[in-house]
Formats: sequence, structure tokens, C-alpha cells
Amino acid sequence: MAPMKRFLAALLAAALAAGGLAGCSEAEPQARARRVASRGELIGGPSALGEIGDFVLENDKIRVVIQDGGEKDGKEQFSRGFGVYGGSLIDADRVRPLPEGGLEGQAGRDQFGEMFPIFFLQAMRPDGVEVVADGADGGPAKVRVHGTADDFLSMTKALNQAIINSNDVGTNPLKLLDPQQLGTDDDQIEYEVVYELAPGDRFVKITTRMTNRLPDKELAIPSPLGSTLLRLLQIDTANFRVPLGSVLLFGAGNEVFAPGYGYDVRFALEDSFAAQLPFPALPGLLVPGLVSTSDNGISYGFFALPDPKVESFPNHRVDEDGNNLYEQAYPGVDVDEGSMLLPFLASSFTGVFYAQAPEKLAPRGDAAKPAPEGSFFEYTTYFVVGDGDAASVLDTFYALRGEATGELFGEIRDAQTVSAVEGASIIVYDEKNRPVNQLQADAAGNLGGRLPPGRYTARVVRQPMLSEPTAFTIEAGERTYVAFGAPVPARVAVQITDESGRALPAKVTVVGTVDAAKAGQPLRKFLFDLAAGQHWRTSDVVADEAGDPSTRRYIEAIEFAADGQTMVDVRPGREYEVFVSRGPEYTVQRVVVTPEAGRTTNVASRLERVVDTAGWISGDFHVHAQPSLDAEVPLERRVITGAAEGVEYLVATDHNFVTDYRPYIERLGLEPWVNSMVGIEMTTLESGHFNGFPVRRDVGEVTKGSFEWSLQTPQTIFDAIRAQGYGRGETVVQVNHPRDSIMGYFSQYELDALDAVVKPKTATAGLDFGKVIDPSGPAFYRLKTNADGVAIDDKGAPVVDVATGELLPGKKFFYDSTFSDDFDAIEILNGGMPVAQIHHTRMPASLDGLDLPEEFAETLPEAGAILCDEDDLVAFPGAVDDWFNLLNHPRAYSRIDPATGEPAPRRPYVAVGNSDSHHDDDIGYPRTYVRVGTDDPAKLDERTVARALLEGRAVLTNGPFVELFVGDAQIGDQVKANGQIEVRVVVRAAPWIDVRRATLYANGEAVERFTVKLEDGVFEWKKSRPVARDTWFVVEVEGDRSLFPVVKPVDIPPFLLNDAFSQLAGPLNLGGGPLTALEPPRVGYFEPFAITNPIWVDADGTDGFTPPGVPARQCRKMGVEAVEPSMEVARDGLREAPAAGLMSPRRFKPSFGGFPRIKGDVRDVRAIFDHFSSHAH
Amino acid sequence: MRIEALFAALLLTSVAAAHTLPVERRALATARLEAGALRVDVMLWMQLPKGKAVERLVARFDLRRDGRLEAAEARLLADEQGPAAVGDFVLQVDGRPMKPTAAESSARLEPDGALSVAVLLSYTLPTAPARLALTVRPSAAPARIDGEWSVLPPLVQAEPAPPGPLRPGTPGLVVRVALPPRPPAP
Repeated sequence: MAPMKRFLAALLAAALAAGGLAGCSEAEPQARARRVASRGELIGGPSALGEIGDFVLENDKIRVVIQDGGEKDGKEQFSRGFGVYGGSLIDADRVRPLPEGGLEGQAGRDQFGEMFPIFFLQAMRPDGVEVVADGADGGPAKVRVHGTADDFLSMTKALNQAIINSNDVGTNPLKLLDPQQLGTDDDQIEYEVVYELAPGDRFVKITTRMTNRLPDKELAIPSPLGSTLLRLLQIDTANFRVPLGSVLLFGAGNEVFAPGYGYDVRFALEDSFAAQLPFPALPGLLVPGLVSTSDNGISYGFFALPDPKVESFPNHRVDEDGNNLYEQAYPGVDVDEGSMLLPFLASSFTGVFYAQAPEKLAPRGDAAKPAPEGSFFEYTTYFVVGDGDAASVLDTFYALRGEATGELFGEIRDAQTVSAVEGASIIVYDEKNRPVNQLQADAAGNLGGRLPPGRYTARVVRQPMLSEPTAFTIEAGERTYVAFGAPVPARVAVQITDESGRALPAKVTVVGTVDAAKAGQPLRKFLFDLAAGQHWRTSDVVADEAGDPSTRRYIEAIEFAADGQTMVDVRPGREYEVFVSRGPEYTVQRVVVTPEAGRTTNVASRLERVVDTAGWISGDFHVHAQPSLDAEVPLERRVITGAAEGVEYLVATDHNFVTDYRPYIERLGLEPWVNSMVGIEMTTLESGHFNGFPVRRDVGEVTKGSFEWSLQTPQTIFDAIRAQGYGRGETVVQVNHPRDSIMGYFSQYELDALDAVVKPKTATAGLDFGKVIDPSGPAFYRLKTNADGVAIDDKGAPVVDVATGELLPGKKFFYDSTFSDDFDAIEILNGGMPVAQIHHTRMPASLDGLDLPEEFAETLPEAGAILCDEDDLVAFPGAVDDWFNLLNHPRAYSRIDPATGEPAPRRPYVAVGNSDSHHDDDIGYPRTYVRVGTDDPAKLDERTVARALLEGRAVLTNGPFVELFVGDAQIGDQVKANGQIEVRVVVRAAPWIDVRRATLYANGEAVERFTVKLEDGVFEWKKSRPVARDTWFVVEVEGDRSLFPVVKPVDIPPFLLNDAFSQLAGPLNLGGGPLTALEPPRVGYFEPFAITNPIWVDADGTDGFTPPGVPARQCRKMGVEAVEPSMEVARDGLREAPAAGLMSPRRFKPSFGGFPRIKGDVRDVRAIFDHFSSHAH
Repeated sequence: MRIEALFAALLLTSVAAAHTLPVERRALATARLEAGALRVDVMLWMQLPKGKAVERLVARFDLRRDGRLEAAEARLLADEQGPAAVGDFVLQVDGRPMKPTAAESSARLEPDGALSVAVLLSYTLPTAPARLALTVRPSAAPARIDGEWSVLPPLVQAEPAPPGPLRPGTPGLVVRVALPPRPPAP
């Protein structure tokens, strides 16, 4: 914001504040802290999560909300955001002089997600939050959060306990490894965070303290056990100190800017991993702090300052000669005591490590007295609230550091018209050409900010353009004026109608072609500048050929029309293809344009609806918008994008937030095109993600009807979803992306990908490594006990001494998984998943282009074999095959009614395909068609659609539309047959969708494969087949031609949370494996694909469908001879469980140090010896 | 990414509370079927802690005088120290002592100055009996040796054999191994 505007705003704020409006009620600047007693005291805004009972800290400049924590009404309070525990800073905004209304009634512009301190990988679990200084005395206002530590990911529990030593596990490592013991309450460290706001400041000072709780004992960090662990892994513990820092969930809508790297934090981070820093350094970016900017008048920053009492973690990572490891790895990067390490960025989830814990904390002494010096350690960080750009945050940063600065002020003017350019900004580069600041122009084109003295250049960012640099110099204490010329884009205006001339909602995709001279180069290296904030251009993900321009295309821009017209700005002077589309039922029109700077090129297009889907409605049952912290799409734009893609039923499924799109649909007049359903995505951190729809929206609640998921079993979550909805049979419980690593329900609960069973677990006295790093806790396991609460084995015999509770000699604990199969739908297709990931990955027929480790070249599984990993589990499971296995399993057809305790029939799982869209341009692919008897969305209510879905009347597709018939029976029907049936398949597709072949499955086995040849967009196939037993049929169709550009490829691999942990584990010599070459790609373009839900054929003469049972299959591991399965499918359809006493393959692992990286079967002593020998000398 | 190995070392309980480090030993054994024969591989591992003894030992084999053990130097050291790592170890099948059919040794100097020596002994039974007991038992008296068994499919372990210390005069680490039943002929 320009200096003049800031002054006026402050003057107005002061005047209105004196009148008692939002913010302070006193004339003098004052800070206040209090518990929120009414809604009017909250901040509000697109990401606001504050509620009555939380705490507000405010002064004349800024306001923040700290969520309450600890117990309330007998229940623990957990985070309303993406974190786990309460007590976090969750809302932040400037003081705004006038209330700003919105559809939801919000007054402020909070756009911040959540922030909380972390201690290595542990977070604070609050006991309580309180005001310690209310500010009435004119001094700073303070809010204190206190508690102990706990894991926000249960799978890091043992690692954390070894490293942080926050709980007492003694010197017995067995206690550390035994899941039964890991829940000890012997807290040894207490934590405290004090949020402090002084009058007139634009920052909150955050002081975090860790204190030894042991009255008479010194506390070592890491624990002696942790030191042993690290030493035996050949890690020099003398130099290892535990890093401390903060998790920062800025949230989508905030662009993260790291001084020195600009906006390209993601790839700068990946490039930094290539440096392979040696331990005790951890990988990541070195930054002086982090900033986020937005177009919404709000920005945030997080910093630490050099403090003689605090050692900076990155500044103290040195080699034997005392040289800083980061300075050696990153030439030109300055490291000082204020430096922070940014080790991960996943979705909108990032964090920084700043301080390092001391090696020891002295005994606490008397808990009633103040903690003595040496028994505690504290460090301070600063959270700054700005006006929208980085400069308004960095101004405060420079002031806090006492740095001499000069002022840059200026204006941005259109290079042609010389008019003010609102929304444009400049990126400032230092003498080393590193982006160090960003200043945004106001409506008058003015900008201003402070910089340390020096020579700089700046480039104007006016999307989609980036100017050439302009040089200037800053002197300390002086003002420097610079006029910047904004480059001028070209504009394409598009009008879209249908064949009758009616205006259509539609999508416009502008496609450019890379010069032949740049063929093969990554686009981000030359086509756009991520660090400067230019937006990403998605490539066609086709190998470039210099001689073939069709292989060198990229998406320049995408825009949407709600009412048949839209405009899109592009870079001028290039030839573009403009594609106009409206989903897979319409044609696509292509027009070539070469727009000029400052001029508008008009395109009129007409689309025809060519695919007959009468009786079916297309739905997207997994969609995010602004109420999700990781989705920046405003709600109005969200419904426009859905309508433009021809999605007729949109289900709002924000993370732990209930959203209703209908008011926006009505306001925009889109009812003829799209309808919507109220829903939610219950998003746990490591138990999986579950959609529920339709559900009720509670307007009085801050999350509009979400509920607590922490420590809850899946069944509890499913019951709560149905209770928030309309009950079983009317509300759908959908398992999302079930194999998506830590976010996948099937992966986390270890649903076997071959037999669809979750095996119970056992624990010996600690010697079960697999369990140690598995998710744990009450959400995942319950101890097997009898009616008296005594722990028992799988035969019902007690395993503990009834009197003492001690484990009996030779006995072990048994645990049942809390996995529940009481869900309705499985999302087997998800928009983030290229087609290759749908089925279990099998050995390819050709090894061309694959980089397999040499030692496995001799013993490869046969082509088509399902691949195992080193634990004899399916290496890369696919959700379609999981669904097939479940459809064959008896438990998909009955459940135990909790009211009666008796089996009750149930509908088997329905498969759905959804976009899981988080951006405006990835909605609707794939989608699910539901047979409801009409394709007019305005005629349908949400429960009708939900019931049809639950009845299995659904087809999933990213392009082709396919129907399956058995006689007159349609998808979802059950039909009786007497030996012979006629199967008929009808495929329809628009001309731009290529369909080549189809596969008919019977009970999950492919029984027919045939070629598809569309004529006038239709193909029909039919065949008589014998059917001797009860069989379900499904048909799958595929094409080969990329759906680019209508369906945007995935060309950035998602950086998942477990990737982040992988990088942290890298210096510990962990990771990698022989299957990397065969892992399905996480990037790619989308090829046409569709699959139906089943038709059930009852052919065995009994009443009802008899499930066929899951066939015995095995997966094949590289380097091991084939062995036939020794167990047969039993007639009851259940695969025979392993006999008691047989060894589980996961039990034995190399059990001593010195062998951190083992390829092949880790139980194999030969492999261990080979590894030892290869690392010898 | 697997991080199970991160916790593998925690089993070395002998180190946790010690101020001076004793010689550490472990025995790992794997049984498998190969071409119809039963093969057992046993790896005996020994680590000498950093100190004067190791420095003197390494100095004898550090022919290049560079403070490191190159490949050839490590082989020579392993050949000499291998018997010390094996000690009086014996593998018994149903009570009968077996002779190894092959042996390899290797050594390395750890970054913290400790010296590790490993010996791999391989045994073969020409025909695999339906059931057998394999015993790993040291007949000498090291301070402590921990052992661990594993079997590879299609062998199955009929009874669990939790890893644990091996002491002279005790039955040792016993595992009962069985072949899976053959499926009936069609």
C-alpha cells in the first residue's frame, strides 16, 4: 500500500476506533486480550475459524485469534484447521475501519490457516489457554497456551520419543518399540507459548518455552536411546541437536514468498534436496523468514531474530573444520542466527526449523516455584500482518532487525496508455539477482516499501506479463522514486452459444506452442518465471520433437464463461489455439488467433451437444472451494467452473467444513445448468479422507456442521457423517483416494490388496518393527480384551496376569484393527491420478526405457504379474482392483446391524470417479454419471441423486459415456438368469474423445476384450454368454489419445507429506528401493477411460446374489523364484487366513545397525551380508 | 520409503546404558529352499569398539598408511579376524552338527572408529526333510550374542523363535521349519 494511503487508512481507523467500531474502543493505541464472548468480536474472512470461547489479541493495527485448547465440557478440543490440537493461532487480519459484508456475513479478511510450534516432529497438546495480561495497563496484551507434547502423526511416535525424549521410556528400548507402551503418560517436558501484542505493533511476538518436568533429574535431548540409535546408524551424535520451529499453514489464496527465492519455493526446495546435505544438517531451504501475499489486501510473515541465548539450528550445522554445511552446499546463501530452515512444503502445509534444543535441561526442582535457569529453554519468533504485499511485512522485519533502510516509492503505469494499473506488482531483485521483495500497486498505481541500501532491479508483474528489469539504487534514510512501465497484454474475447443460439456456460483454453529451439527443455526454465509470481503453464506432457509442433504445446490460460461470454489476457505477438469446450457431451471448437498487445481479438463459437445421456446426470462428488484451506477458488467462481464444464450436479466437499453452493448458483442465474448438494470431506491427518453427502448445514457453527475426527475410529466417523446427514440409505459415506499414501484409508489401515482383508496385529515385547512406524493409537487399534477387560489372545486366553496386569512370559498382546467396511462408496478414480494408477501395477511386457537395478535384471517377474514390495505386499495397489476384490467378498453384501446384532443385507460398494478439484481449472474430470431418469438438474433434489448413487446406478468417466445391459437390466440392477445371458455394451463419445477398446469383467476377471469403433459417435456390441454361477459384470473402455487441452494433464508431481518425511529421513541413510523404476508415474496426460458399476446376475437358482469369493492371487517380487500359492479359495468365499504361528513376513528385519539401506528381501542374510560388504572399507 | 531400519538398531540393548563398550556380536540365520535342497546361511557379526586395540589391529593391515582400510586391506583383516567372529559357533540340524559348504568374510572400519567383521557361512542339505529343527548355538563364552532367525517362502516357520541372547550350554536359537502341504492333484 502506498505511504499516503496507509496514512489515510490509519487516520480513518483511529477516527472510527474512537467511535467504538470494530477493533479498539479507546482513543489511545492500546492492546487487548480477552476470551471471545460474542460473534461480533471475531475476525471473519474466507479462512476464519475463530469461535466463541477462543481468545482474541488485538491493538490499533492488527487482530489475531488463538483457538482455545485443553478440555471443555469434559471433551478435549482439537484443531478446527488442518492441525491436530487446539491452542494454535488460527485467524489474523489488519484492523479494518469499516465492516465488510459478504454472503456469509464475514466482516474481516482473514485468509490465514493455522500456525503452531513443533519440536522436531511433535506438536504441543494444550492443557489450557489463558489471558495473562489483558492490556488494561497500557502494556502488551498476552495470551498463554500451556501443555505437553504429542505427535501430530502417530507414525512418528517412536522416532519422536527417541529424539525428543518428551516421555519416559527408561533405558528399555522394548518399551519404546511396544505399541502398548507408547501411550505412556510419563511426560518429561512441558511446553508453553506466549502470544504477545504491544500497542501500535504490526506483529505478534511468540515466545515458546520447553521446561524439564523432572524435579530431580537432568533431561538429555536426544534421549540416551536416541543417541544410541543415531550412533549405530553411523551418525555423529556429538553434532546433532534437535531442531525446533513452527508449522505454518498459510492456506491457498496466499502465495508463499521466500526472500531470496521468490515465489518458487516448491522447486527451490526440490533443487536443494539434490545437494544431499550430510547429517547433522537436514535438507531444506535457508530463508530469513517466510512471507505470504495475496490479492485480497492481506499478507503474513514469520521471522526469527538473532538472539544471543538461542542457537539457530541452521547456523550451527558445521563440519569437522567448523564450516557451515549450508553455506558450503548453497553458495551465495548467507546464514546467520536469524536464519530458518524450510524443510518441506506439501499442499499449503509448510514449516520452518529455527532454534535447536539444548543438549540437556537441568532438574526442575520445586514445581511451585519459578523454573530455575538451565531447566528451561525458550526462543522467540514474530508473526507479522501486512497489507497484501511482501513489502508491508518486510518493512516490519527490517525494523525488528534494526536494519538501516531507505524507501522506494513509485508507480506502475500501463506502457501504452500511461494509465494506472491496479493489481500489478513489482518483484525486487538484489545484486545477486535473487528475488528479495514484492510491492503491490494500489488502485491509483502507487506503491512503496523499504529496502536495505544497495543496488537493485525490479520487474513488473502484470499477469500474464513480466517486464524487463529496471535498475535503481537505495540509500539509507533516503527516498527513491521509480516509475515502472507495465507491459501490455493482448486480450481474447469469446462468445459461446449452442446450436439454438442460446448463451452457454463454457470453458476457454488458450494453447501456445513452444519454439522448436526450446524443444525438450522444462517449461519453467524459460517460458514463465515462477519465482517472480507468474502462473504455471501446463505442458501437454508429450516428449517434444523439434520437427512436430503438436508435441510442443502448453496451456497459456484458461477462463470460464458463466453467461456465454468471457475475456482472457494472454501474452501478445504469439499464435495461439483457442479451444472452447463444455464437457464431454459437447463438441469442442478450435480457433487460431495471433492477438496484439493492447487490442482485443473476438472469437465467436458455437458448441453442439452430441452425446445423448438422457436419463443420466453428470456429477462431481468431490469438489473444493475457498472454505478448504488448500483451495483458493471463491465460491462464485467455483459454481461457474462447474457449469462451464457441463457438470450438472456439484457436491461441495470442503475439508472439515460444510458448504452450500446453492445461493451462488441462484445469484448467478445458473439453475438451468447446474444444481448442487451440501456435503463435507472429513479430513483426518492419517486415517484417510471421507466424503459425506448430502448433510445438513448448521449455520450457527463456525464449520457449519463439521465434527471432531482426532482419535476417532472410522466407524465413529461414518456414524457421525450419517447423523449429520439423513441416515443410512439417504446419505452417502464415500472413501476418497483409498490408496493415496498417508491420505488413503486402505493404505493406512493396510487393507490387503490381494484378499481385501485387514489382518489383526500382534505385539511381542517390542520386537515388531513394522508396527513401530505404522500409524497407531485408538483411531487404528484396540487391544483385544474379554468382557472383563482382560487382554486376551486370538483364542480368548488371557495374556496378562489378571492381578498385576503384567504380560505373562511367552505371551504377546493382540490388537484388532478399527478398520470399518461400513462405507457406501469408493472413489476409484480421482482427478489427481493418471490412468496408470488405477489397477494394481503389473510387470510390463517391455523393459524399454526402464532403469532397473542391475541386481534384479536376472530374476524379473513374468509380464503381467502383480508386483510385490519387499514386505510381500502389492507394491503399487490400484483402487479398481481393490473394489473388484471387495465386490467378491461376502462382507460387501451384509453387515451386522448394531441394533439387533444380526446380519442384515446391504448394497455392495458403489464406485465413483471425481475430480477432487482444488483449483478452478481441474473440475469435472473424472466425473460420475448417475441414472436418475432425467438429465435436467433443476428437477432433482439431492436425496434422489444420493439414493440413485447408493443403488449403484453410476458410470465413471473422464470422457466416454458407456452403458451396460444384461437383457433389459441396466447398471445397478440385479437380474435372474437361467444359463444364458445377452450382454450389450453401448459407447458414446464426442468427436474429440478417442475410444479404442473395451474389456468386460465378470467377477473381476477380464472375460471379453473387443475393439471399439465409433460411428457418428456411437458403438454397440453384444454377445450371448453362458453364466453358471452368480456373476457381476462391469465394462471398462479406454482410448489412447490424450485429452489435452480440454482435460489438463498433471505435470507437477504432487509433493506429498510422506515425500516430506522421506527428505527428512534422507540424511539418516534411509529410503529408496528396487521398485522405483516400475512405480506408476504421478505425472501424465489423461487418456479416455470409463468404467461402469455392476449388473448383478443371479444364476445359481438361490434367492439373492451369492458372492463369488476373492480368488487366490499372489504378487511377485523381484529376485525371488515363483511359488504357487498353497492356499485355496474356500467355498464360503473367504480366503483362508494364515494358521496361527506362521510367521508374518513383516516380523523379521535386520536387527542391528550398520545396515541402513537394504535392497531385496530384508530377511535375507545373504542380502545383508552383500550390503555390508559393498559398504566395507 | 521404508524407515523400519531406523529402529533396527534399538535391539542392541547392551549399548544403552554402558559407559565402555564391549565387543558386540550377533548371529543372523536364514533358511530357504533352493532347487529342492534346504540351504541355511548364517551371518556372524562382531564389532570391536573404538580404541587402542582396534587402532593397532588396523595399523597392521593399513598398508598404504592412510588411516583407512582399502578393499584388499579389509579382505586380509577379515580373513584373519573371521575365526574370532565365528568363535565356536555350530549349526545343528535335528541335533547333528553341520559343516558349512561355503564361507565368506568381510570387514570395515566404521566412521566412529569401531571395527566390524562379518562372516557368512552357508550350509546345504541335499534334500529338505518335511520338518527339522535348526539350532544356532555358540559353544564358547562371549559376553553376549544375540541371534535372529528368518525363513523364506515357501518354507514356513512352525513355531515362533523370538530373537534373543545365545548363551553356551543352552539350547540356543531353535526354529522348527516346515514345508507347506502340497495342493491335491486336480
